[in-house]
Amino acid sequence: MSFLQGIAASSGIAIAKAYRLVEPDLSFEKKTIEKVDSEVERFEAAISQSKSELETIRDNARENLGADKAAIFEAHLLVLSDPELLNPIKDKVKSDKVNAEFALKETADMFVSMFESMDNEYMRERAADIRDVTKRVLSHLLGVKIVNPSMISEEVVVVAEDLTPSDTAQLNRQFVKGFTTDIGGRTSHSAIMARSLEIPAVVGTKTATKDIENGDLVIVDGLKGEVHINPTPELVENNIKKQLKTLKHKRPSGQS
Amino acid sequence: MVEKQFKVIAETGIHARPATVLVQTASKFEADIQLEYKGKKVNLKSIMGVMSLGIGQGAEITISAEGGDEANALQSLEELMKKEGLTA
Repeated sequence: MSFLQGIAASSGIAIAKAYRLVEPDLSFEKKTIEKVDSEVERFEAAISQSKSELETIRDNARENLGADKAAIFEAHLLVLSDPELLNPIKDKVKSDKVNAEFALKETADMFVSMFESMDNEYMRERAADIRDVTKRVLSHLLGVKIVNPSMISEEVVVVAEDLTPSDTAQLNRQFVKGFTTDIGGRTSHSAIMARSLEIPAVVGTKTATKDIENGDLVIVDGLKGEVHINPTPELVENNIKKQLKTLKHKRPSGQS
Repeated sequence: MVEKQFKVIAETGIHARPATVLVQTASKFEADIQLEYKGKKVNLKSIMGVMSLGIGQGAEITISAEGGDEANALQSLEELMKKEGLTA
């Protein structure tokens, strides 16, 4: 067994098998394109696939998390319709004869650094939105499947480097018992989402994705900020007892 | 072309939700719609353009519209900003 200390992000204890939610490889090379029109069409197809995916995620979020959280995806959808983002990408493909992946990344990076340099925290967070949207479009351009947390169908603890807004909105509360991430703090997006979903979470463990394998038994102690990997039976039993205690505390307030 | 000046009274300025609904509304019209603040003009149909202005409380902004449905567009945007508490 081993142990990781992170930041307590959302209280409660979760005991389940690990499910690694790791980013797919979205790397690509810059290419010269001859048939620029079909390249633009390929880009437009990736945009519309991303939009319909986001619409599904938004509807899920609205149902599971409330209209407030779904608004994030409303904003993502607007980014995907933004003429100031889409037109420069298409122009770049046409004038520089480059592949859509390259044009997208170049243009999006420009916006990301613009928002990151603003002296307003809210604006800086928008940079993360643009990154999230860019990844989604890239995955469709490259034909790579983004791991889809909404497909989880058994009880798990999700292990990830970080959880993006679209990841968290797809987490099914019925199966996702807790999560732990490499990066993040108490006010990071993933932590806020965990508290609103009432899922125990430990963020900022630095090495969770390195130290935890798929199927490892994991205890997430969201109060102490501790993660136990393949714990001893005694430790599991202790934590089950703690879990039951917190449940008893919760019940009188009407939560089941 | 039609244009009108507004003063932003909302404490949060034009952020998040207000920016989203403004862009959504502007996008429904054919007309070219521009938002000007501190001498910088952006496309009001662009969420990133609007947010990049970082419009705060007390800002004097100008919205201009040009095209077939320009008058309608400006009127809808004006009503929306009032409803959202962005302007008086």
